[in-house]
Amino acid sequence: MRRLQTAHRRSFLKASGVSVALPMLESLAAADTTPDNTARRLVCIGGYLGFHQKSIYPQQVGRDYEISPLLRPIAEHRNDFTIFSGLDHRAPNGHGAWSNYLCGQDPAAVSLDQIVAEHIGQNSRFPSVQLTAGKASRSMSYTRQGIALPMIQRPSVFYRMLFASADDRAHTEYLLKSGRSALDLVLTDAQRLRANVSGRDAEKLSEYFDSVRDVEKRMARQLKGIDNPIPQTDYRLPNYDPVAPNLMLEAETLMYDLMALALQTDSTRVATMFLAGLGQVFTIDGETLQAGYHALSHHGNDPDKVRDLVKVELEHMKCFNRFLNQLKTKTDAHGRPLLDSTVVMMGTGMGDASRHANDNLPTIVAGGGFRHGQHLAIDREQPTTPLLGDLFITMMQRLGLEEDHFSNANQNLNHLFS
Amino acid sequence: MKMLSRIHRSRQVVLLPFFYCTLLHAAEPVPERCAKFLSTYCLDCHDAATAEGEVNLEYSEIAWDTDSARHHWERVLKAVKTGAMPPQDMAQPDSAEHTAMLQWLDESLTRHSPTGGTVLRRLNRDEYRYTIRQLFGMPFELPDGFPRDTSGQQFDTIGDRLILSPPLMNAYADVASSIADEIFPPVRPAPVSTVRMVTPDDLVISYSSGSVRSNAMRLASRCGPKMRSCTWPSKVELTDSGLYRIQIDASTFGPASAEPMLLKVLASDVSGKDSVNVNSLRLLQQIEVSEQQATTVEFEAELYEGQTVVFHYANAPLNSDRADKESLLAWFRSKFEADPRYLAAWQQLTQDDSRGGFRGGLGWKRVKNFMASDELDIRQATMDSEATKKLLKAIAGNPVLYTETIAYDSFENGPALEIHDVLIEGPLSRVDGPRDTTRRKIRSGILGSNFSPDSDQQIRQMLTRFLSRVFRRPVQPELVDGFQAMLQQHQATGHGFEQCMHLVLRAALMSPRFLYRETTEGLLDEYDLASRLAYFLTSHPPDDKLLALAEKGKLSDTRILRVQAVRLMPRDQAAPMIRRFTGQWLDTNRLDDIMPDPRLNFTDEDQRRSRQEVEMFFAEMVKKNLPMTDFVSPDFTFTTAGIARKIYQLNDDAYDPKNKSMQRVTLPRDGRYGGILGQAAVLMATANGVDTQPVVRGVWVLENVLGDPPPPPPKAVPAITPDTTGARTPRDLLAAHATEDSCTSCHRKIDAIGFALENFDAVGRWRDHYPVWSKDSKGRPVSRAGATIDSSGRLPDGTSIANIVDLKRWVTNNVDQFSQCLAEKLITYATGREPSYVERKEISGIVEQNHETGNGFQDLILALVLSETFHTK
Repeated sequence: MRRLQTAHRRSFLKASGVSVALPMLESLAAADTTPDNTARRLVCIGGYLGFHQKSIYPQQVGRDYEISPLLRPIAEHRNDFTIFSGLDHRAPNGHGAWSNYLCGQDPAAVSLDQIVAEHIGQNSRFPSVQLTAGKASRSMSYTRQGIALPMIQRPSVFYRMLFASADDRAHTEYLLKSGRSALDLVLTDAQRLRANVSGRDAEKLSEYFDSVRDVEKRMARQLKGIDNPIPQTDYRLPNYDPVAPNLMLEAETLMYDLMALALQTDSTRVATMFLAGLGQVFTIDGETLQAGYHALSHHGNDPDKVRDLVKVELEHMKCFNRFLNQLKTKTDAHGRPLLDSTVVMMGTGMGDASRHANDNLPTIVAGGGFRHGQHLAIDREQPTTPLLGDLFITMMQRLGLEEDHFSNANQNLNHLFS
Repeated sequence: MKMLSRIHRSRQVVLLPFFYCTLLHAAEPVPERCAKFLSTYCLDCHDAATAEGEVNLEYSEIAWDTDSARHHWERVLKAVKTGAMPPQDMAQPDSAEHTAMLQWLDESLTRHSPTGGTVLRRLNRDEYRYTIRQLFGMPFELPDGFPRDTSGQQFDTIGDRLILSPPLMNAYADVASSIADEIFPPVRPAPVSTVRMVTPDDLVISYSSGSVRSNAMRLASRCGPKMRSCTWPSKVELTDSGLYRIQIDASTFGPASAEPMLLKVLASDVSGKDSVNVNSLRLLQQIEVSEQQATTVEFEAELYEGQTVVFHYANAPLNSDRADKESLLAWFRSKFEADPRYLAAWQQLTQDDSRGGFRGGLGWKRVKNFMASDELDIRQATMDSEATKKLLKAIAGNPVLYTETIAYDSFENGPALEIHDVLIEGPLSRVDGPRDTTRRKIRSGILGSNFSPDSDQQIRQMLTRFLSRVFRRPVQPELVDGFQAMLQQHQATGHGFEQCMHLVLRAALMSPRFLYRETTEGLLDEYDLASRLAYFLTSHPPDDKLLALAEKGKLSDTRILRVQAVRLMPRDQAAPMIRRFTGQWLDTNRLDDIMPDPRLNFTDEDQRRSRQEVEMFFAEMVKKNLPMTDFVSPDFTFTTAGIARKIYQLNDDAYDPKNKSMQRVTLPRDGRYGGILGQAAVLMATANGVDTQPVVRGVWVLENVLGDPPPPPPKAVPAITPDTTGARTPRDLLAAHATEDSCTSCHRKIDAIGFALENFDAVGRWRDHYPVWSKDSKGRPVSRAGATIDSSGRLPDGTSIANIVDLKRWVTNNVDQFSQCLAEKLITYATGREPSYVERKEISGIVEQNHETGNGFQDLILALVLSETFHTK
């Protein structure tokens, strides 16, 4: 893992000519006394239909903002998160462009979580996990090859991944061990094949050998994991999988719970979760809403629809609050709250679903040891205005990566927020 | 046409071993005569120092064996041949010099460009999917998120662009494992019968398909997609196939009716798409409900693993099916006729919000408020008023939106079908689900009949047969040895035979012999030829017939190959080749990503149908062996009455207005519409859903119709921004192209074609003027005629054209240029490589020959299949 040297960061800031604000100095001072202030985990949550901007953005900027309706459920964590307005990737609009949320300007470029996983995920059981609450219509995580990673929709599947039963483990072990003998067999044969094809084809086959090696590595990692004691939990799922459309919020709660457990047990250090949005009609506190979620998001500023839409979004925020609470009460190996060393981003690729606009993306960052408590409003009219990618750079640096650019961004937000 | 003879083949084999090229590494000097040509006519601008347009021609010798040199000098050949170079105002070579130069370039290129050279290619997503389906005879879909292919030269079949990456290999490993699980599943303990109780609150509501009132789920509407017309238990997903006892309490709600309500109980896969059509779901029981009092109905039915029950009100009078708008309109009319205030309230609702923000219960609440209001304006509330007609038109235009709102009337007042408690008990006994049945069939297919796992000899035979099938060619004994050893060792360590087969399957599906195709160098051998032919024409692996012919060594026989190609020829729109090829050639794959501007009045359905038009048209071209000119100027198309009316603006008598599905429509030849330059889908794919850009369409036609793509544009030039005020036309904005020298060389080819297509808007509808959009007093978009569209221009060969009709005539007069373009696309798609100079010469011979013998499209495909280019790896 490449670690960002404190000195390096200082000189980098100086070089970029950014005046260093007080909180920054403090955090650097803290860095001098604590040998390791980098964060260790990353969680990115993306809401497909976005958040009603007027309800999520506080009216005031800075530290003394009045809590907005959608932030109310997480108000207790006010000093542990920052809300950003005015950030985006300067990318085209439409549902199709949603996928650039973690990728920057280009929808299928490598996503933030995958870059981070390359650095901090490789030694955990799962380098990264991709989850979705509800049936996903979009991908969120992309590999360097531009491949959309599948997301796990069933809590039971994720649960079994994390806390496999003895039977499951035996079966997995069997599959892995026998799988290795299968791979040995095809590799031997592939070598025979390579000897009989042209030079160009033999070169092409190197893709095959490299890829098979990667599969072997994955199997070895999984086998090693099987020998390790599998974390145990008394957490129990309901006896059905909440995959029906209207149970999405239930699925969301379970996925958050499992994600917190996954981080606590160090099963993974990088997780993403997609919050789907189709026609599901929610019943909230016993009241069935008057239209499906997707129809509500096309509210055209109709107050009745906005009211119902915000009800759904409040539920998302309540789920999120429960997650933040868990990250505060659960601790890492050193007995410190997980949240202190976990960068959590809650955001969206959709700025305003009613217009299918993908600019001005509401973004919340919590934890990770940042100095929080502000509403940071980015003035979009300034020529050198920071982009969402600049926030990603700051997050990556906090996670110990020596990255100074992301997609179309090459500044950072360290001077505002660090 | 050059046919492949036996002698020809053997010569090839001798002359083209792989290392042949490497022997020719030395560069060849430029002959004196041509060097003089270059220095006299070219080097003033294209010497190494100046290299105008980044073209340097100052060479004393040429390394013909490199791709880059061949590309470079082919460009020179083209420029000299077409007279583009030397420029008109410079000294011109005489005809002898001209001929000698062209001859030298042509000879050198012919001598040095290779036939063949496709790099080993893996199966792409579609081919993989179809291969698994054919191999095992089972339904198979790739899991969501299975890696996408990267494509090159516009097709997803290009060898060097089909990368095998670690995530893809991991996905292959996972898919192989799940296929093995499906066929040889792990043994499960016997299920225990349980009782599942479902209350109305546990039933799914999606898209206002139902509503819980007075502790009952009320269903009020019907249509195709399950998610819009059904409800189902949200917490029941059966884990075992078996016989279940199902008990339902149901009642009617609302005004009494003579007809009983029909409740259909269907079975549906929980993991499946919620947009599945109810008619495709398996019917478990149809129940007549006629009592207002809840009545219990009980029956037994088979349900399979992963399923749940689905409830559908099959004869609901409220019907939002797009194909049956009349019935929805009848429902609204009957409501409107019964109460003018009701009608007035709906008029008010839609007037206030033309964008449909009222969808769902909020809209219904507003209707009730309007009805209760003293200020309700009922002056237009008659059935024959303009406002009513407009409202009914709006309803017909968006059945789903209005149904989701008026459904709340039925939830509140009926008619609605009520579901109370539901009880599902079982499994009472185990049954084979369709998966079990399929499984048994697949296994006997793999193992053969009377198979005994105790006999080594039988195991060996089984493996030999199975592996040759998976690898699409006979397998060497040592390969079988390996598999047999693995199987036996697995057996020896205490694993059952099924587990051993599970392992064999996993290994076979990870083998490069399965994942890659076409491994023989030079001329394809019989088996690789079978694969190339089958994947080209069917997207599937070779079938038994092809493999049997390959085994007998007969497939490369021209006569037999022709018969097989005719047999496999894609003849209807359902053939995967047609969707895949047209989607990539004509860019109709892009349609899914284009959201047409709502002002253009082009629905999702229109979009789907217009893509279907392209596919049915292409299929007809193949099936009827129609002349190549019909691609551009046909006298028919396939379309819907709706598109015929609103996009193609045909007379009523040209189509059947009552026919709701796709119909064959006769078109005048040489008209505006029809063919690949006049089909809505193509015109849409070459625009962006909102406005048109002549340059984009011009480049597209050059690339995909005329086979003469311009080089990429200079980087420094910004894209033009359409002037939405209508004051300046794109032609005004592009005027610089005609005057700036750096632009002219390409844009004189591009712009004239682009302008000729300007009469088609972003969905292909004819227009004589650019629209200028504004809003009327109610905020609705209206357009007025802006600047007149000038579609005239001069083609590169000097032909003046007035409009699209002239352009089409020009293309049909020069149809070989189009045929060459399409033939090269087909060959690229089929062989997985861009054809080389010499291969394009072969194709050109085929195109000419075909022109002389009727110019049929199917004949062209057949001739391509018989070409040396097609036969060479």
